[in-house]
Amino acid sequence: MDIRDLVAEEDLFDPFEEEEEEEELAEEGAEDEEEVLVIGKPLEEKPNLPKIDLRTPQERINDLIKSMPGQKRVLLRLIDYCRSPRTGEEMDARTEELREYNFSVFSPVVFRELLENAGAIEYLEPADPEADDAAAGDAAAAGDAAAGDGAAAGDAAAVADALPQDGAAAAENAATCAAATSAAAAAADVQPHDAAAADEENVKHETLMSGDEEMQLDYLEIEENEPGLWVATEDGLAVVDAQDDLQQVAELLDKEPRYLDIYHQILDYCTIDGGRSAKELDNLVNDSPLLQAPRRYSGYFIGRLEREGAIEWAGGWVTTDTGKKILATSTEQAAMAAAEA
Amino acid sequence: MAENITIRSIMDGRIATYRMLSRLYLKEIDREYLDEMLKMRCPINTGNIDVDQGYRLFHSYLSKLWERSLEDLQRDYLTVFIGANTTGHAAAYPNESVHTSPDRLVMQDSRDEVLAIYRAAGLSCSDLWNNGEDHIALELDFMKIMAEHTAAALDAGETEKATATLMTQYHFLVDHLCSWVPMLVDDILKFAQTDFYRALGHLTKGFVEEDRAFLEEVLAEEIDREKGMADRESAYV
Repeated sequence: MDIRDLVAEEDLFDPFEEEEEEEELAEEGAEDEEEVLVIGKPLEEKPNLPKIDLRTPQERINDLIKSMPGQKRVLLRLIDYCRSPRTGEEMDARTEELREYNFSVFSPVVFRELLENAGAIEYLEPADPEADDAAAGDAAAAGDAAAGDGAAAGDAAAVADALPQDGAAAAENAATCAAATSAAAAAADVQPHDAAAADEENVKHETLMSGDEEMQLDYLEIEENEPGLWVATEDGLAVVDAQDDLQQVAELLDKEPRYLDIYHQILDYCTIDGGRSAKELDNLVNDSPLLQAPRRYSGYFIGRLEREGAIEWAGGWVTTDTGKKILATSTEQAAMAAAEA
Repeated sequence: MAENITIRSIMDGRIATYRMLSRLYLKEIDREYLDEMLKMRCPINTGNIDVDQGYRLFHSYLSKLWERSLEDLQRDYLTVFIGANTTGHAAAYPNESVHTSPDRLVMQDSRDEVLAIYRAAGLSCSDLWNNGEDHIALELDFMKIMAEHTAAALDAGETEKATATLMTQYHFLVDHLCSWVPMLVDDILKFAQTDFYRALGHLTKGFVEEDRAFLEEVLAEEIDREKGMADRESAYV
């Protein structure tokens, strides 16, 4: 039996047949371009809409503060600083001051951006002195430039006749040079400048002498730009006013009654002018039997007290007013307890 | 009392303008120089479209500075001249060689030529400069220095020396700055995102054109004489 009899003729490979199929597919694709196969298609079609932040401004501000626990005080103080409007320079100076003992990789500008995006502060634009500037591009000053120069420009040879000194500013001189030379070289061909009439009211004039000829120099002076101001929003101030450091420190101490004495020791120890170094605080509490199991070190307590505003770093660890109040309260309570006993 | 325009006062203007342009191309602007620029007068109707446009853009931008303008400008300098933040790694490359060599490379013939010209004028490039001697800032600075030489010669009454230094400036302008500044400015206008650098582009182009016209006027006789000599030489050859 011939093996070829077992193979159906129709199943034999025909390279030309496949080519035809490909051509057909290509033709179909050309007819209906929408049916192009796409790989990597997402399972669900999601419209690419901009994200809408549904949080209230106060939530956004609180979230920002929570996301930067190390800079909490800086952020709150900056908002507080903007109770009255401040310029960018004042904000820069204040931020630098606050960052002196609180290093951050963020520049003052970034701090402002973060607070602005969270809705804690807002930028008040200065009043626009030139609202009509937009019209500048469209205004036409037909003939002005050419006429001005035609009358003004003496030729360069005439310019070269006299030799007195003149130390005027770069811009002015550049124009003088341009105006003086343009007469012979280019002024006749000059197209009137589109924007020439735009600031007509602000244009100032100066008369210059080129030999015996008078020429007029038109110029604009850069106006002093009043800076915009940063001011705290109502929501920003509400977040600042809602901060109750005393309450937060009290809650911290209530949470860990076991370490109450350690906290009090640290607060008391840091009341000294200039504060205490980390080494001194290590020596103060690290050997305490209370901290042996679980093993704790002074940093544990310093971090917590700092976060709640009871101590702060100012070249040394210093007890804040809040910390001192806590200390005074606890001393009173201890005295009362002793009296009762 | 109207001030007199003289060749000497024009020389002061050229020095100041070349100094300003060179500084702005040299590196990012800083607070000190920005404050200095706020005192600038912005002439209009000078007769050169690019000069007028440049000063108008400077005026509108500098009159509306805000607290982040300095950052914007520093960022834009990097975008325009270094190519930072552009997807195509493209920029308005500030070296003449890039614009005049077939392969758009730095340190090509143009650099060798300008270096020879600097040396011929008794100048040597700072050891700390590592951006190629055909950088636009250096070429503009060269013009400033030569204009200072001219001013000094005029003050000393040395007319021949003043003419010679002006001829050097004229040749340098024609052979170098005028040949590639228009291309550079086209690129600056393409990449700049602030009106400040658009203004710089326009002003550079316009001022170089005007300066060439000025030198052609002042040096008309010398240029004709030089051309006549060249013609005779070529006829002889």
